[in-house]
Amino acid sequence: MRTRALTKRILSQLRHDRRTMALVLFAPLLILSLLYFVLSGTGATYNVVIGEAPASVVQYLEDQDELSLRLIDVNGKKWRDGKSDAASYSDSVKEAVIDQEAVCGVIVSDDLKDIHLLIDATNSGDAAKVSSAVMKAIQDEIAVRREDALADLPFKVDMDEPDIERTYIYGKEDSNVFDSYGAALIGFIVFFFVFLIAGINFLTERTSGTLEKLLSTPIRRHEIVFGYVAGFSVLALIQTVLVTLFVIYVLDIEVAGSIWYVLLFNMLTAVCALSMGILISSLANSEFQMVQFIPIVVIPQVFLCGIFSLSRGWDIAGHFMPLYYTADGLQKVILRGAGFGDIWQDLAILLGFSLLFLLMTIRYMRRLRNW
Amino acid sequence: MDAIRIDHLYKKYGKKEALRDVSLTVPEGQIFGLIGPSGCGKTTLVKIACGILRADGGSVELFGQKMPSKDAVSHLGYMAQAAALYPTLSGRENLAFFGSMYGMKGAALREGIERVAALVDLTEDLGKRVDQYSGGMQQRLSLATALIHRPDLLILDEPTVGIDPVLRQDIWNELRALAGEGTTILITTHVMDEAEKCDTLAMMRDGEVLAIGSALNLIERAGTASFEEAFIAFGRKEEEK
Repeated sequence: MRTRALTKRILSQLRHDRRTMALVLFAPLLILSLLYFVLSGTGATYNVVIGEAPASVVQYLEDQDELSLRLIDVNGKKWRDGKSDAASYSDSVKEAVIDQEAVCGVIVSDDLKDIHLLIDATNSGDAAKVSSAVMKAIQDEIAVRREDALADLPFKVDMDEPDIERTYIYGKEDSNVFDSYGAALIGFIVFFFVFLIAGINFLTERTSGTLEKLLSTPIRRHEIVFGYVAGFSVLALIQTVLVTLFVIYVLDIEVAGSIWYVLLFNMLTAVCALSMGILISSLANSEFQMVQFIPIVVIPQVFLCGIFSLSRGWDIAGHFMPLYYTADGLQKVILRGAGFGDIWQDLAILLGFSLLFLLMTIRYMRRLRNW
Repeated sequence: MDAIRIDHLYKKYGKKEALRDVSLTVPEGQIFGLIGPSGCGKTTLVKIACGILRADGGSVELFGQKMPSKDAVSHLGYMAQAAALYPTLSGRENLAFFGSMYGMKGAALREGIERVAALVDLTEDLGKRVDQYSGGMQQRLSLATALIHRPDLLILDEPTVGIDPVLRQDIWNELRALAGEGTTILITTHVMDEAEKCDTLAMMRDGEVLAIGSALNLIERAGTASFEEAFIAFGRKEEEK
């Protein structure tokens, strides 16, 4: 009864607080979109300086459709003719790479014997992608020439291509970084915003004196905590649905498992975040202090949640963090199409974390009253 | 039975003693004033009496029940020093929320809202958001939230600060009427002329009670011409000890 009144009050407050609503509902979409463009690499075009390369290699590069490359032919052949030695020639290509803000400069002799790549690895990921695309083009050309050479021999050499078969157990050949990390990042973003909003709201209850006023009424400690959980769960549910649908239908992440499990994981993560937010806000004395807790209790969870490969020690540390189970569960559902049998442990642990945080909050409020 | 019985109360904030051996009793139906400068421990005392704060020593009983007690606080209305309201909610939503904290609902809650709103002259403004209220209006709404469940005991922490004189007069008339109906009122103030409107007064300084009695009685005992001079005289006596 009192819990319901408190829930109703929180929902009215949220309804009137347009800015908070906008933050909770739309900021996650903005951040996920940005992450999508950054991690999936869509839209980025990389410059490649062609110092010298056989036309067929350049053709391969132009034809490949994995990366968007802009080939800049500096017409190196003309420079080279007779004039300078190899060293000063590669210096010129190096300058061109720098001038053109290219990722890679290519010098390949006509006989394919001398191959020199000049790579700007400021962004090592980009450098790896681009240089491997260049190498693939060169190797394709090498393979073709080898075959031609073999065909010209007076006797027949039987050299079958090796039969390479790749079976993708999980994921697909064209999976990008966003597909791999995105699953876990959805959970993190839900966690972050709910943690912050619930924590700060509960804190405001204390700093504005309304908690004291509330404590002068017969309301019980657990009624306060559960009222908060119920109120913010409604907000979390709306946010979760919005984020999940956005990721699936707008960003086009492919969910191998059931969307309902994705929703369930996000919802439990939100409940966990809000119970943790309420607990942490009990330790803060101001909104600023609440924000100071973010680098301590939220950010490390991202690094330790299991999306990065970690040494054993750090991996064990990650097991003590709720986001570990969110990331694990979401990856299982989204990337591997896991069913309930594979994820119930993650769900149970998340629920356990939420209950633990809530009990700790109720326990902590004993300082204030004993019913 | 006494509405409030406070026995040898002690409270420390770190090293600072906020209350030192405070004892007093408030009989039912009285307006009891706690008077003293800011920082004398009035607010600490009323917070402990309301069960919001834990004392380090001593005890508080409301209507014979040892605090903190869930049963006792349901007969208690508390108005905090700073208007403890939800600024983004309307006046009506604020009243409805605090009313439901005391288990009020339906028609009783609606009638309660109308009654206390009329009492503090906010009937017209109930639909407005509280952050659009003036300071005085917020103060009045805050008083209304303490009255909504018709408490037997009203604890008010500086309720008339920042309220214009006409309205202050109205509020005092209202408090007097409530006391007439048997409501016990514990009120803190640092305004000397307000003190004289109380039935009984406790003068406080530095966490201690200097003297307790009616305004006239205190003036007589101090042998001074005014209440303000009496306060100074009792303070001096304490220093000599």
